Amino acid sequence: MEAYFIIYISILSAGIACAIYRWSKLSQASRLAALLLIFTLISESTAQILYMFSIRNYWVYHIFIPAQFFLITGAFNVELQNKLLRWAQYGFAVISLSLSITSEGYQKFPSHQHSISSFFVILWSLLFLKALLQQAEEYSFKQYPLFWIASGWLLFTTLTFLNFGIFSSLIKVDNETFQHVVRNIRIGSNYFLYTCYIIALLTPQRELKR
Amino acid sequence: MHMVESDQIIWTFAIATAILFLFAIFFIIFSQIYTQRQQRFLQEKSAIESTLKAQYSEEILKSQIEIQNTILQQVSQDLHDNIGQTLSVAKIITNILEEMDHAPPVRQHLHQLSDILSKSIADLRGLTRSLDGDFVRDFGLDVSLSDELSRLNKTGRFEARLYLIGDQYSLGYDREIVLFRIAQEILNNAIKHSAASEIFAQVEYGADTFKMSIHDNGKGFIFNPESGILSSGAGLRNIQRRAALIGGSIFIDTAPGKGTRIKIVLPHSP
Repeated sequence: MEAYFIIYISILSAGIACAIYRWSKLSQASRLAALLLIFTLISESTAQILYMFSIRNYWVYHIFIPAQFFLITGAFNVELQNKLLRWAQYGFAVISLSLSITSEGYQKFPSHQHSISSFFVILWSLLFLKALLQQAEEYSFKQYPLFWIASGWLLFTTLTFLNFGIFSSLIKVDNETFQHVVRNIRIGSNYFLYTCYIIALLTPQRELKR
Repeated sequence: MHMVESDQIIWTFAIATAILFLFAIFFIIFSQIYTQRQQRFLQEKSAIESTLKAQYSEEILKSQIEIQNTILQQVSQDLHDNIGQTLSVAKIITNILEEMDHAPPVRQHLHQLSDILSKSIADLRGLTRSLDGDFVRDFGLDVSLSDELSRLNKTGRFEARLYLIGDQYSLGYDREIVLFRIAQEILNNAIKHSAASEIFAQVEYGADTFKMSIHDNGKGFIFNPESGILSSGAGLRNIQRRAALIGGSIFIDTAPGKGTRIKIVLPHSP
């Protein structure tokens, strides 16, 4: 098992431990984020096990990406209370499933789904940061768990948008150095994202006023 | 092909670095805007809280003054109706007794008793006027203050005088009753603590300001103008709060052995 994966699983486990320890104090959005951590851990572990047995594991991501989008959009919707997010939660699940069955099938990584999901998560993150700015009050923005989650997602999605998303086919190169660079960017941003989750779970759980 | 791959590595690095750089800038700007808005929010909140606190204090003080006036009026009424009536009846009986034939020593005692009763009735009348807020309403601040100083003169312990400067105008009952209660508080302090022999009050009706000052030649006290009235005793703070309630300012000039002068200044718009 690679060191990357051990660190990744450790960060996810630490996040889940924080969530369990602080469950009663967590906001509704943070609880959805905690569920996402659990789901991520299960999905990544399953994908890794399949990989170790040389079984194709792309189908895991065909389930993981819409479920991840459903939970993260749900977390943002708790704070933003926006009908668009509510529709997107279910709409994306349908579109993602359709794409999985029709265009790409389960034999490839769901790049289109990842790109669409990334685009909308960036949008939700920016909407949340805008709402946070508009209601700046006595508490620091660092006390809002979704600020950390939005920041993590913004960096993760923008960094992985190209190499992991719809353009992945365009930048496929057999150069080892290049693959190494791209992989490390992805790994770094992944660590950053889930570290932001841990910070979010440890904050005083402030919520936007409704 | 090799050049293309090399370019792509450079571009990937460049894009990733640019994204990180843009992120850093984005969050610095976000943090600054948020902090600015937060400070503005806190300032507005603080201003609202101060206003509400001031309004609340004002309401409390108004209520206190109203309650005090009501109680004093009630006490004044009771003194007048009960003790005043009893003294009047005693005086009438004494007068009847004086008109009868008595031995000279008895006549002398009855005469003394009559004098004592007359003085008591006069003192009681003065006291009820002093306590009664309606007296200020009916006769104004100057007459009420003059009456108060006359009572002091009658004790024989003090020489009290009132000086009036300028053409008299009404400040309105609400302000005059507060000024009168402040004057009473200052006079009471002078009587209790100053060991003064002279007390002077001066009321100055200016075009833009109204000034009332009370000066005694007593022992004075240590007062630090820099630390202000807030560091003084409850009595002075109370006077200041009352003065502030009617929009006035208080000035204190005192030193050990040099007497005390307390001045209240009110803005006046004709």
